[in-house]
Amino acid sequence: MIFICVAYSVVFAVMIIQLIFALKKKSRHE
Amino acid sequence: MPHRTAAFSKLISPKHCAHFISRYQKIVLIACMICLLYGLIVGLFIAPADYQQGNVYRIMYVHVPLAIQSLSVYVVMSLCAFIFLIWKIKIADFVAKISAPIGAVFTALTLFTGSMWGKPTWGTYWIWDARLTSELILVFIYIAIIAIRYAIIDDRLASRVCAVVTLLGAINIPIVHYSVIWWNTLHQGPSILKIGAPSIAPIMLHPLLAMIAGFFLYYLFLVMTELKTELSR
Repeated sequence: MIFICVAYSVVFAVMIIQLIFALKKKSRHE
Repeated sequence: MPHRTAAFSKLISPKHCAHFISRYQKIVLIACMICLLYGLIVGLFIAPADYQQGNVYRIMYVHVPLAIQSLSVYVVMSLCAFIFLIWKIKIADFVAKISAPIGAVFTALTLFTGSMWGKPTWGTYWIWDARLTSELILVFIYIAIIAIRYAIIDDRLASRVCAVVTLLGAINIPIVHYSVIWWNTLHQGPSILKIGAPSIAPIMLHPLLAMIAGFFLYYLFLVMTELKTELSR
């Protein structure tokens, strides 16, 4: 169970950070 | 034919491309969230446990989509590199530039989730298996492309060098995909992308397909967002 929790939390944390960076970059330009 | 050429040149013009992105970006994001939610709910709570692996097989719902994306992002980059080298279409170079860090993250996450799956099933986080090693080489290729892009000050030269390196690195893509067939590996063989029907139960397959679509749409959304930023510069 611990492996599933670690895998999912890391993947979705990285994806959300990636998304925030892309949106921040966009808003900085606008 | 001239009508088609006109439509194509309209789409690759920065103004129309930005307009196209604004129009479809939200739809892509909503579709992505629906696919990911469906995949997560069915994959984590409805699909039954595997008779051999138990619940740990559920890592598959992030590992497989990430692995497919790590390869398909590189295929997109190679196509863009080819288009840029032949027709000098700047948008193709932008897409390749934007895709490299996304692909690198997808590949690193593939290796990470794979090791999280490997420990309880194989008894080890890492093994110098053909599939794992070729995937690790793919991360290094992505990093090399990103490094070259930032190391060369002249933008036009950087774009051309990156395109050539991307095309040279594309040789690793069939190696990653066919490594489990060509060599005797600890990593299992293909279950979805193979000739014939997928060797996986439909109740486990549906959420997996939804997650694959969700991750593809997520990549598409990121590219659209960053491409819009690049075009507005």
